[in-house]
Amino acid sequence: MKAARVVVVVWAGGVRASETILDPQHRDIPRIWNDLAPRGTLLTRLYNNGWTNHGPALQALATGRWEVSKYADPHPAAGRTLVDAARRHGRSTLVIGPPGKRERLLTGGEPSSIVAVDLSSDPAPFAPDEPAARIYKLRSFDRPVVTTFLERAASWPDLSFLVFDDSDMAHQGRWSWYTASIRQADELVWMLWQRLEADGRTDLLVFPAHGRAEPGQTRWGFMGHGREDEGCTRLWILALGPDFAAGRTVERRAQLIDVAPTIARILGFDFPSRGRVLRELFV
Amino acid sequence: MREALALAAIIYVLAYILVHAWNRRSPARVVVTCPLRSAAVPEEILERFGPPAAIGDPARFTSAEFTIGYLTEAPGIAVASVTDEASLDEKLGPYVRSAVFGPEREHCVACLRDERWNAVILCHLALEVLHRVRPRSLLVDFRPPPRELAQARRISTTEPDVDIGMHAYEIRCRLRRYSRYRDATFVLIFTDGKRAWSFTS
Repeated sequence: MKAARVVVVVWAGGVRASETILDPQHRDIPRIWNDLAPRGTLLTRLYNNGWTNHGPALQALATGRWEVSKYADPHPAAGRTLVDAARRHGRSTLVIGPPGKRERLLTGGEPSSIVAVDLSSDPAPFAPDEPAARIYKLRSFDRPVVTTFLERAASWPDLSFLVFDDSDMAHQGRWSWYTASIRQADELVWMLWQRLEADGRTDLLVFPAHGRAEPGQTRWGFMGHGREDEGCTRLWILALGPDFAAGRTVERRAQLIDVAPTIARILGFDFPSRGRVLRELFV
Repeated sequence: MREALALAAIIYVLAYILVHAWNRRSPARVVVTCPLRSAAVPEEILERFGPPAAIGDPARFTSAEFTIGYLTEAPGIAVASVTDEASLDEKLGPYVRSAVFGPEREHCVACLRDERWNAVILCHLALEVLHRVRPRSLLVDFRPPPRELAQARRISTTEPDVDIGMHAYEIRCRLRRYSRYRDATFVLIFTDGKRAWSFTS
């Protein structure tokens, strides 16, 4: 493996494939689709086969197993997470996300790697007069998550998780807010990659942790999640960096629990899990 | 005993077939009316509903067995006529108690205090009514009253057309889940007061 560092952007607020890679116009992910996908490998059939709620999805990502300890607020899997394993192998780690209990799922409850951001109306990391600063008019977690990460450029660790949450605004039932949060995340990922690409030794993985319900389902379509339908379970992953081929699309089916062992492989250690290493992503 | 059971089964089957046939004679109709504030119908709506047809007066679509709106005299629900918790329980109680789709009672109480009645609440009530009441004809009227009246009755007037149109899309998709509405006529109308466009499916 060529990368010395992995940055993971996990869309923990939930976003459907139909508003991202399956939208024929890709109107809310123009950066990801037009500018980033040609530079990396896009796996189009990643699935969350567990509970499609925030906590269980993050825990599946953290442990490489479908965890069913609790639907709404699972207990952290102390000592069993990818972050735990990375630290045991001498890797530095960082988790940046909204405050609460969910970010602890990624570290198994261990707090020292976590930086919690506040809900902010600050346009940073975009300049106030930049068009991207006006995409999402509401207070945001995603913007301060990226700002906080970029401010630490001098000490970026070996493994970072950036937890995006704004798309969960969809629970408010405002389609325009939901899609604007996707568009904003698209710009944030683009900005991140412009900074990360320069050193040539960083891999960036971007993916949703769960989707949102199909229209007409009892979880109210885009407003909700938690079902087992295609809208809630269908994900994708974009992999950018020196370990991934440019402009490649992979259609082979994969699961969310495959992501943790794949990251471990990039960082040079084995991570026992129920998932498999996604070798098809690598060069 | 056996003959009686056989007779009952035959009567049940015949009754089922007759009721089914009667329902198919007069398919249900669901009409959703949305305000059009922007210059054109949003493209997200056109993608989902196809090309619209210009219609004259939308009034010919707006009589129904059950109407859900902000303020309406027709039989059904007028959410903005709820002014306190007592009238909330009286007018919306049957729909918000043990609701499948909501809205939850606390959400309605919030509209009485610091929020406004909005399209999300109307949409949730429409889904609840489809689920529980299953009227032969339903009108969901997302059009707010004139601004002064809307302000006085705590009704939101700021939701973009696309947000309201996507609620209509949810309602249409939900219809497919019920055998009663499987062959229903669904009409979506966008109107700016002078002009109106309809989508029929």
